[in-house]
Amino acid sequence: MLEARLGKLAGVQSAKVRGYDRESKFYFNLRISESKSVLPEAIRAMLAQLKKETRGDEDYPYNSFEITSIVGTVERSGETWSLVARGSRQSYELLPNDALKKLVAGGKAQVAVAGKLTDEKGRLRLEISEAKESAN
Amino acid sequence: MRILMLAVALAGAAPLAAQDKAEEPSYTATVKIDDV
Repeated sequence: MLEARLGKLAGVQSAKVRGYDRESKFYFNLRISESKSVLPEAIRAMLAQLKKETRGDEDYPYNSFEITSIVGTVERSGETWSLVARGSRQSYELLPNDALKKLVAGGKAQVAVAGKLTDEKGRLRLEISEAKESAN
Repeated sequence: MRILMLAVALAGAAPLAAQDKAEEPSYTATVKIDDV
């Protein structure tokens, strides 16, 4: 049910169940077109719609969203870092890790990164956990 | 003969269309959803 709903979101090429753990969480792997961006709000809206349609029977709270690999260009203005995604041009505020800082210091602006994506108070923030130079 | 040519053309076109979709550049993410 959730897998099918996730697969129908605009921009999602595929959604596959990765697993289920003892902390009672479902994990889904998403493959998303670069020309689109799928944000946490879209997942929450899908879950709210599912709950509404099933009159509360299918109630699955949103937990978290992690980008596992995205290519983009890092832009820096003072202490503010951002990533502009290739294709969609979606901009994310960045919390860089040391690896990303090192790449940018070395003149590498086009990078492939992974990290937790949050949107508290409407601010899209990507907390970088991995960063490497983009191969293309 | 015409029907045969059309069938061959269609058979060739379908895999190409599927290939284009599969090769559309993408990025990946993992979503966690709670089960209560």
